Amino acid sequence: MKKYLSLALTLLLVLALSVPVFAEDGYNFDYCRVSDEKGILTDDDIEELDADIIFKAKSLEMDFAVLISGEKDDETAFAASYVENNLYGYGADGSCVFLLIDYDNMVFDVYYYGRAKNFSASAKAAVSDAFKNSYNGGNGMRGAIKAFLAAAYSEAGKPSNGTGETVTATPWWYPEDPANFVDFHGVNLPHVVDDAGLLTASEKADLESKISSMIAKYGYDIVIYTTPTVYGYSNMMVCAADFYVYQGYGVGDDFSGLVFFHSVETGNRGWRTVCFGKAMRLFTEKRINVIDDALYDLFVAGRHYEAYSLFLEKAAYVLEDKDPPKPFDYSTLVVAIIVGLVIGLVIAGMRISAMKKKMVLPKATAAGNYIVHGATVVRNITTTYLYTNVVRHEKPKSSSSGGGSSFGGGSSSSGRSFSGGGRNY
Amino acid sequence: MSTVESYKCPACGSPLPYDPSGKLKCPACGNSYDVEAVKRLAAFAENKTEFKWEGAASESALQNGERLENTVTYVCRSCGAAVETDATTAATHCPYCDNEIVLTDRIVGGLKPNGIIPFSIFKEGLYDAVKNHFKDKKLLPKNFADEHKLAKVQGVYVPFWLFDAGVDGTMALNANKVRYYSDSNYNYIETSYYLLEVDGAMRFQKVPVDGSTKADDDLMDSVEPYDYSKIVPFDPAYLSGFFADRYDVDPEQSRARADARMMQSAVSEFTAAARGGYTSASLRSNMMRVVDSSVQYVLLPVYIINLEYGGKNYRFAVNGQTGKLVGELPICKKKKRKYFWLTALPIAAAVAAIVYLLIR
Repeated sequence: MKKYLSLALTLLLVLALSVPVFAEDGYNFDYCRVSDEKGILTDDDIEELDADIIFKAKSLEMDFAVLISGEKDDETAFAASYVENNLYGYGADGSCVFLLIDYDNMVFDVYYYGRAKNFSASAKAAVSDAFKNSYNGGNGMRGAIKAFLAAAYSEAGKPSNGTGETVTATPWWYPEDPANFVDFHGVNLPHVVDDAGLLTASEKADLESKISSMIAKYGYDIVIYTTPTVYGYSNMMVCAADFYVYQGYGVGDDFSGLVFFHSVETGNRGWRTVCFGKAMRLFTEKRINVIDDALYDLFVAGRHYEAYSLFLEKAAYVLEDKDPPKPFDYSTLVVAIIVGLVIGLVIAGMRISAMKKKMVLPKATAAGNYIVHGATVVRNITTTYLYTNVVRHEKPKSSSSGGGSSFGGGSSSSGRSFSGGGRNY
Repeated sequence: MSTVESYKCPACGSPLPYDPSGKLKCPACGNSYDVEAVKRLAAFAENKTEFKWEGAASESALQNGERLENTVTYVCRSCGAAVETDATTAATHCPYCDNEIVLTDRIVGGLKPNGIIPFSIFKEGLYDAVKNHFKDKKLLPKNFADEHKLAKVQGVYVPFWLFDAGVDGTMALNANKVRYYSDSNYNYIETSYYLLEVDGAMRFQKVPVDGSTKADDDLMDSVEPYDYSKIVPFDPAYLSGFFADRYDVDPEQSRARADARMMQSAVSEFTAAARGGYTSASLRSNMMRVVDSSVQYVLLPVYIINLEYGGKNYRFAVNGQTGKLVGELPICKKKKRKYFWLTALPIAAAVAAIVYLLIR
């Protein structure tokens, strides 16, 4: 009896230990992907980064991991061992991009496993440069790790032609077979996707909370998506729309909701509000312009969290089918006061002039009162035509005025209709 | 040697040579004209006015007129006005300038008028007429005209020449018609120019011109009209309590003012009659003449009020028959400022609020 019991327990233990190995899609969810032996990151940062990696890994079918540690004797062997021991890697080939930071010597290296080895030299350089440039640019360790991850996601999303060279910039959320994509409702989707690394963990959590409340209250899906690149899309709204559609956002059969898209790519810096389903009717051009006017200065000043918060505040009015309140505008007030004063002074001057005219009585200059009625006779009127002049003026031609605003509609790559607008800055 | 006629372009004034087409064509502006049209235009030189009197309107009817009797004459030391009244009326102040006057009976009595319109507004009515006139004058200084000041006012019969005349002849008008049209690329304004010759006649009756240099012409022109049906034969009894000014401007001298008034009315009437169908019409030249004229000498009742404000004298006239008040009133600067800002500020605030809400 004891023998059979021991055998049963052993089998159970083996099964329990092996489950993580055979986790969904060959991916172990249990282990944290971001480890910090030097205490540089906060717990919130680690939790946020980890959640982000897990979310992306499913789409990209590739794992990502980060370790902040001290100096190692044989870094390459250590890295391989670390990845293996922590069961990192996606799929049977254990595809993984691993960032190892030697904080003591302030050096780092990136290791590629599985399909990640197929990254081209330029792709690997882009991933490394993203981390280095962000850290050296003063964004801190958290910001630098986010930039590394964004670049790694981007490269991981690019289809390879088998030679290790990438051919198009494909977002990490882009499906492998877009031609046969079927609309779906995503489950447990994040509502703040900060690929550009513009938010702290607490800011992101705060925005998530606000959005969750709004979704529960208004019944529309809302997502804020920041990205360091537009992936070569010529139209930011289509990029935003594809993100929304391919990630499965949207409520109801018509996938009602909106995505607030923000790109910080050089030359394509701007934001768009893209709406689907019933939200298209609510977010009119006028309402979007009012929101954009309020956000512009914040984005230019780099106050991203405030901008997103203000967007949600204004969007709440629109989701109640009301016009969002306009901000107090000092320059408009000055113009209004000047116009009011000019008109007031002119009208007052006219009134005083009329009152002064009453003070002076006009003299009778004609003899109209003394015409003998009935005695006026017009015997003849001779008309002689002299000449005719014709003057012509060219009609003004209508011209389109340029500007940073855009409003319009279209279809996502999957064919779903959207509308929206936004600005570049 | 034949005389070469030369014409000027009606549009730009350049010399107009003959064109092989038989018309006159302007080399400067390119317009072409019929010869006959240009000849007619030249016959009515612009701004040529020949407003002629035919027949005398002079003192002829009055040359052997009677003189006033049983009247006394007062002469003003300040303005020199010589006013007459009956022997029972005492006077201390000049009705024109309000200064002291002296009694003298050495001046021969003036010419007897053809008629007179007696005063029908007396002191009480005068007060009411003045108050009524001033009540809606918001810029008038407070207590500008009160009964104390009006008590000193004297009524005076002002000498007037009343002209009866007919106006007959031709006047030429510049007229045009404007048409607007457009096509896909241009908006057009087409203006056609015409010469209108209006031939007609009209009559004026009793056009008044005051015959006193002391009476302000503008005031006397403004105090009319009078109801001339109330003219009665002159009697010195009407002067009791009032003054009668002597005329010192004869009809010949007054004619120019009568001319100007009659011509203005004639131009207005004939232009209105001729301009139907035209966008605008204005006088080019006036070749009318005055015919069948006559003149009467009448005395018309006027109150002349002199009031002082701010170191300046303000003179008014009140029609002694109808109570019509004329004259320039003083403006209280404080009231003017008050009404200006009371109007400007609320309107400015309302407009600013509307503009702000519209453009924000």
